[in-house]
Amino acid sequence: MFDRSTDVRLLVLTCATFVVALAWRRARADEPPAPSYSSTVRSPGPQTAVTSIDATQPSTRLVSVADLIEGQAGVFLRARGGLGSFTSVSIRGSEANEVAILVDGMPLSRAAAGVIDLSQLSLAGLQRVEIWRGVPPIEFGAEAVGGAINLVTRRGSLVPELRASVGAGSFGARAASLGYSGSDRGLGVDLSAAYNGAAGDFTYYDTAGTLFNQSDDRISRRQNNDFNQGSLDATVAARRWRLGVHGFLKNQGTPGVGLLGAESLRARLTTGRALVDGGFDAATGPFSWRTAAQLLYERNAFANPFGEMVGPFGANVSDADALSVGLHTRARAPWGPHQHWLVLADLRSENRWPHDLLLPAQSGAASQRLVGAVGIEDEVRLAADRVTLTAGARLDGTYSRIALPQATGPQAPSTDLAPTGRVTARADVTRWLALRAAVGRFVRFPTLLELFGDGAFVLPRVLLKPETAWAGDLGATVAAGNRHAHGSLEATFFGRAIADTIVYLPGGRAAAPANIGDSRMLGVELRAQASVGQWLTARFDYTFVDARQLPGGGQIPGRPQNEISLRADLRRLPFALYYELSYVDRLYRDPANSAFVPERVLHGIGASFEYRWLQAVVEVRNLADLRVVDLPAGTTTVPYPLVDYFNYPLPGRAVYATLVLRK
Amino acid sequence: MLTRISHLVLAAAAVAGCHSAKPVPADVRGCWGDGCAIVTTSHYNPDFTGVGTINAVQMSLNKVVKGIDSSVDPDTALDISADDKLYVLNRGNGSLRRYDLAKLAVELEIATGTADAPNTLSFPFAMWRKGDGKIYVTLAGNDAAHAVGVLDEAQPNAGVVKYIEVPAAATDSDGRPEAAQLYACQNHLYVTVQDYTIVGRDAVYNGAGRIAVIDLAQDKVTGFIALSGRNPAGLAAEGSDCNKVLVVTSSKLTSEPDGTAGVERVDLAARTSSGFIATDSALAGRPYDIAVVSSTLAYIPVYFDPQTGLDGKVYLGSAKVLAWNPSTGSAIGDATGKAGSLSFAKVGLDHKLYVGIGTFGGMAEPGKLAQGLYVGPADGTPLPTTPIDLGDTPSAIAFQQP
Repeated sequence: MFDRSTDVRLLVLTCATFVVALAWRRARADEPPAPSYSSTVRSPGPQTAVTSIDATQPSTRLVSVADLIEGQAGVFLRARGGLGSFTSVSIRGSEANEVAILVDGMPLSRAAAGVIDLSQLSLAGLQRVEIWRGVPPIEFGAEAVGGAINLVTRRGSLVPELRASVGAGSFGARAASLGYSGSDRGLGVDLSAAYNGAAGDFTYYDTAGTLFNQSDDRISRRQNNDFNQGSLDATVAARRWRLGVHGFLKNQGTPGVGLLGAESLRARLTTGRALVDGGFDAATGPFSWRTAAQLLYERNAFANPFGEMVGPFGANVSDADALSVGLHTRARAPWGPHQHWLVLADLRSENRWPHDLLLPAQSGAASQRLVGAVGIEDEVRLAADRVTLTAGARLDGTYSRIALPQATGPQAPSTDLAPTGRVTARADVTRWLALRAAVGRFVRFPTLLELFGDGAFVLPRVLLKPETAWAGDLGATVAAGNRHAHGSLEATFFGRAIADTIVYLPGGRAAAPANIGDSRMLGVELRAQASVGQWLTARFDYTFVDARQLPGGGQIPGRPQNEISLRADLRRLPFALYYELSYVDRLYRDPANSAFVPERVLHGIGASFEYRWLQAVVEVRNLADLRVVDLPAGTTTVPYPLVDYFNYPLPGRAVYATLVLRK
Repeated sequence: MLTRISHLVLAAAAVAGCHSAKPVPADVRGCWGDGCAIVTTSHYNPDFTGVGTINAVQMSLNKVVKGIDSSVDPDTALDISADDKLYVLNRGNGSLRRYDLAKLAVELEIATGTADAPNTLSFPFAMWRKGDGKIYVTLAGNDAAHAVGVLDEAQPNAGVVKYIEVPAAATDSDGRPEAAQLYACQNHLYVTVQDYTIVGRDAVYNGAGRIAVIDLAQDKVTGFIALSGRNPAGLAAEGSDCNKVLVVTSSKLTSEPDGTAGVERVDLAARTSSGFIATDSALAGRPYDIAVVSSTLAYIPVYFDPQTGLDGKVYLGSAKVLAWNPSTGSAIGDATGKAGSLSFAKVGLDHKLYVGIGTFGGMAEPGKLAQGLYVGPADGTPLPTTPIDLGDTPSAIAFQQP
């Protein structure tokens, strides 16, 4: 019923690569590789739930940050289709725009699009990705209502390394990357160039719009679902300063939900970003400070000239430019041997220029925002540094204005000022038991897009109030082991109460952001990890989230109550195998909880072979080739395609092969 | 004495026969009998995908059953036949479903399209059942050649078995007539034709509204009735003569009344309009439907008070239902307060007025009615201000026939 010939060809090609010798390699240091996933909870510093994931393992399957963090505790991704498609993240039941995205601790501006598409965040040039699920540091800003994702860029390695990878996969997936990392006389350099693309032409079950009449159902092939993305990253760092340049350009089709006859065959989305950031560290005696600056330019362009069934109603060709400049300062000062203070100051300018290329006279007005913050935090270590307490406060303010067309006159600026803060505690009770607790207050100011609209698809709402939230978690980690085996178990109870929740609601032929009232999330995260020597590691993640609109509302749509992720890795060099399982509970599609996307279980496997400088990896996603589910409809069930929350079909079984060279 | 008793018994039997209710089936999931109404609700996502749900309301029993079936489109049209079949027209995906009214189980589903004109782009707007298994459907998303489709319940897998062309207006540059409402009278089917063109993201109405006349013996458009207003939206018989109707034209809803819309009296047999009885200016809003109760009372939902946004564009402001006197052409008063959006205002067979109210952009605004179904006597007096909460915005309603 579905095309498997491509999968077979890929498997044959992959087997052939195992016997190909290509280049000379300097032997790597004989040390065990770091596990792909590890928590930093037991590292000094974090007093809340945080997961750190190694981002340096190239894989054709892992195109972006979205692919890397999928299945992690507390994380739920919502995607519009297969590889490279728009993906937003929800942490512990949050909205996507409640998750702060940072690069090396500095916030990535939302001026361009409001919601950051994680599929645009390439892994090339990244060292690791940190998921701060609980109460992030106040340095991360006040807007991390739902948590934060911090992208840590690569630095030059002490041992020079040349790396290259090439890969291919199902549905036209292709990847290539080239990188160099090294250092000389205290100057470290890391350079990366990467390309990812896919045709995305998977087959799926098409109901043709008639749920109860299967006579017109068919197997359709996804069209206009391709993407091509190129990215460049460069970091130069010395002991006291760092300079980075990061950029990407992505062009992708926007296929719509893909019902027979209503496909979007020509609409395209082009996005690009260029980020220049740098920092300088200085110290005078026990005092130290860091100054960082960031210049970010982004462009989003959407072209649907024929008014196809995707996006807002009617034909539209539009784009938006955004420019953000930021300056951040941190100063640390000790106060005795067990205490230190942190003082911070942030200033950022955001500018946005929307353009309607079909109807230039209807282009939205340019808008500008200034964001400033000052903050202070005290960290105290007690009981021989086994107990760490922190208390911090921030004051954030925004000044936003829109440049209206002259005919309508000037508009008074919108200003907001909000205090936030956090209190955290961590106790290393014994060698194997750590406890932590954190509570914080957050504020998310409406973005420029939410306040002033874009003249076309988003209505202006200048009276929109900031979201405010109280969030906290309480957790424990038990870890034990010896030189042969190690195991750990983390359990976290969390809660979040949000006032004046901002969501997008349809209004006329556009979307309107609105404060819809209060919402609250309560939940539990469990993470278990085990390893036996170097040859077996296993990880189990479970998240339960009860996310409700208040008062008396049902489950907030688009958030599964239960999510499970399981992975087991077997290593017996030069071979390695893994198996992974993902369970996602039903997703309600409406606030009344009447309709839902059925629960799903997906399996994946992978294998790799290492020989000196060469590593070959084969991965299979959706091993069972699940494409059709039974959808409850009225008094019966009907066959329905496997879809994500947005009703976009998801691909069936996909095979990816990657060849990695390290010199 | 016996004669008197027998007369009383006969009279009682006669009374019972006049008001005899339909036998109630054993497995009723929604409602049944006097005042039974099926109401669909809709929930939209910001990208205008969404969920539609079938609910049941029976005021005579104070009965509300929510969330019966959530597999319908968020935009629907409803009808209930005399033999207790519920017809749901899914406007988004393009299909017509027939449900058993008692069990609310789907009996069949027909795609409102063919390979030439796919159902997923057809946007079926309204339906009329001929009674012999044929169902006429206006297809507002199609071109002129495929503007009205005929479905056959005996051939559910065939999709549209016949198309009826409705020639586009000369002033309508996109060639699509946007056939909308249907009304049958004396072997003719009358189709309101909206004739708009999308310019940018706005609908532009360049010419006067029309009603296409379909001869049901030929299944062919045999002429048009020219209207005074633009964008005909609703029509209803004024009295017992089905040829005498009141037609409502809306022009452009998101603009101030300017005399290009209103209520006009039309003689369908003569194919003439007598012009505006009341203009939108007189109604202080753009009307978009009409429900006639008597010669002196009708209900007209109107949009009014369009708001200019920060970007200089005009958006829908508020909606309300007017009680209006067809004889005098003047408003009686407001039947409802202000609402953000108003999906329907229909008079049920129980002589109650049912109004479905939503909120613009999903948010209750100060001074506007909350989302829900408002029900009250259809006597011209204001409706109660407390709605029946169905969980989402009411979008369509149909009443079980006695």
